Amino acid sequence: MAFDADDMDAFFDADMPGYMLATIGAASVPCLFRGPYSESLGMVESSNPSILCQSADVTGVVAGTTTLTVNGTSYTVISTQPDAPLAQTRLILEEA
Amino acid sequence: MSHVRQQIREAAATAVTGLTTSGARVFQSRTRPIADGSLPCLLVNTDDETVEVLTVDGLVLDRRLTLSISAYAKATSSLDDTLDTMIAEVETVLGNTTLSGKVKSLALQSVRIEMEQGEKPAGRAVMQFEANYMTVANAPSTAI
Repeated sequence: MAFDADDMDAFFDADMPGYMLATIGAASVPCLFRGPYSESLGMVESSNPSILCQSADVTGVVAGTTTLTVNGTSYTVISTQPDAPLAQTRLILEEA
Repeated sequence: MSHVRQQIREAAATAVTGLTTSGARVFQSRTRPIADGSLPCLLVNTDDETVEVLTVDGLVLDRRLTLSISAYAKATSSLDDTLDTMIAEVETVLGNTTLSGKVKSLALQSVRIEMEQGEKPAGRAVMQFEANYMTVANAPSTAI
């Protein structure tokens, strides 16, 4: 039996770790936030924030232009990474 | 008494302390990660060194030490400008100094810029200076 939209919605359930609502323009988009620790240049404490969304919710997002807010922090989308078979898109973020 | 290498590193760190961009955030031989509160900053390291014996008896050594000053910054915009400003500030104070007589000369040899994406872009400018100094073989704590 093929996955349908309801099955995909289950990935963005409020019980999922990292679940948040991203504010993109006037829309509230369900997403899974990730921000793993990293060390830029091997020395500078940093993180690599991103959100995973359903692709249909972020069709208007333009890398380098679109800004959004997640968990009270404003970000600029610096890369969109679609995963077509899963109809999901990861948005790579930079603090605005 | 400390090796002249250490004296040079400490004198260079003192010289670059209080610059406009990095202020008092100057660290010697730092290996721990740098948190946002410590940026922008300068790291001072004394790295490789070549030694040439000048006298037949092997007593007088002409030494060329690589002194590295690394400028670190993190910014969402104009990171390149910030790094270039930090380079200018360092060059201004180290470009024409003998570090109170500890070196015969201190000459900038190279500048390397690197940037990397994170929640904000981070950048590093590594300035390598050649510090030329001399010692007697059995007296490495005294520059001659």
